Amino acid sequence: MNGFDDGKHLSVLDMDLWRLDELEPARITKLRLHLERCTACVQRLAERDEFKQRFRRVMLPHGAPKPRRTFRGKWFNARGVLVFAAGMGALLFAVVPKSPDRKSALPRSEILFGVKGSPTLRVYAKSESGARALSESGRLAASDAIRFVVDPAGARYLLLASVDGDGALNVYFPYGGTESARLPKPGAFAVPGSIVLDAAAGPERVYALLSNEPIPVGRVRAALARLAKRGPETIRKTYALPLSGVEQATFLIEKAEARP
Amino acid sequence: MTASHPNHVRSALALGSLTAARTRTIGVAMEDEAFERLYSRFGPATFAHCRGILHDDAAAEDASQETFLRVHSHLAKAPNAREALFWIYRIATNVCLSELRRRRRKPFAVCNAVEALAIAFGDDVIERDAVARIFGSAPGKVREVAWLHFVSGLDQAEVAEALDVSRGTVVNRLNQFRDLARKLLGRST
Repeated sequence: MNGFDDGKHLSVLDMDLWRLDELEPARITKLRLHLERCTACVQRLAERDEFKQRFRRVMLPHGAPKPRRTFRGKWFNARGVLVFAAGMGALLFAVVPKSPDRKSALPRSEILFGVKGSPTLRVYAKSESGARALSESGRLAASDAIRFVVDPAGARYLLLASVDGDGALNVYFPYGGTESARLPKPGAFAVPGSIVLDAAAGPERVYALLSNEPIPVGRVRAALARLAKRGPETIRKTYALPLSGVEQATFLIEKAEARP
Repeated sequence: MTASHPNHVRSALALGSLTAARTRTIGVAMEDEAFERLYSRFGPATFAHCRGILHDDAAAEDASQETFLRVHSHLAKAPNAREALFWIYRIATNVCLSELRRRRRKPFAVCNAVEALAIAFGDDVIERDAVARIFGSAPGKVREVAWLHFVSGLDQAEVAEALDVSRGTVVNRLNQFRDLARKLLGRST
């Protein structure tokens, strides 16, 4: 068994059972003692708790995904449904005029964007070999140039801002604006221009804040400033800002020392 | 109903049909309510597990919903939370690792995976690229066992229980993973 007093770290099973109030009392005692001396497990537990909070905040309000139901009716009922559906299909075919040259206003991939899911934020770094998609916690050097692409998942307004380990706050989009900017069209949006990172090494966490009404920049700066005061490690672990009515996507960049 | 039935029989038949339909409706409503309760209770752990592997909120949302749709009937029958969580880990790990492989993303550049492998192999530093290569090269079943053991922290018995295989199978697959890792890291076995 996984004992906390034998040098091993907590397992995800221990963490999840504890949070479900299903961990045996003897193991709870050992778990608490282990957390008193293992900062790595404290951080892992905090990270897992934040993920669960995100679920409750973002996904749970939309309800559970719909399970597939097997049809339990009699065979003649099934036949009736099929006949009805065929009839309706024939009626629609007869009523809707054909427009073979009519094209969709948006490509299919963009029509599907925003139907479900949360917004996403992707970061592309420009290097000598060309542009590459950065993975989370990707390392970059100061003076590296990056670009952001946001999928707003149906939201109309975007504000892109960041905070780094030195406490610097940046509003990348809209640059110089006082509130979120209206997105020009549905679908993925490439933030104009490249961003050149500053010389401060350490984490910089970028937040894409999506909403259906504009958000004042001042409100976001205040939230970022409060986060900045808590230091680089908290910045690394804070996956959402405490802003109600806002969908968020975030990306952590680790800035290395500038190359000579 | 046919015209040959007396009125009271026709009424009874109609009532019977209505009762059956209403029972089915109530049954479906109760199923939905139970499903929502399961989702509320186990959804957070499902998402957290997927997010820990995929490191992307949107991808983790999709994966956790896919996982939950596959696993909910088992959760309903699980005698306790431990059994339910094993089902979640089993399906979610498979879904997420398959997704990473499908996307050919650079996966597993995760602090805890690096640290976990460092502990397993006694090295101070294992490069993230090496972690990605090791996991990326491992066959699917070996990768799942390795992830649950080295990164999620389950012991061999728990991994066996989660994946519904024997402990001997877990040991064999972990040995395969270690051999592969040593080969890729250039260390002797």
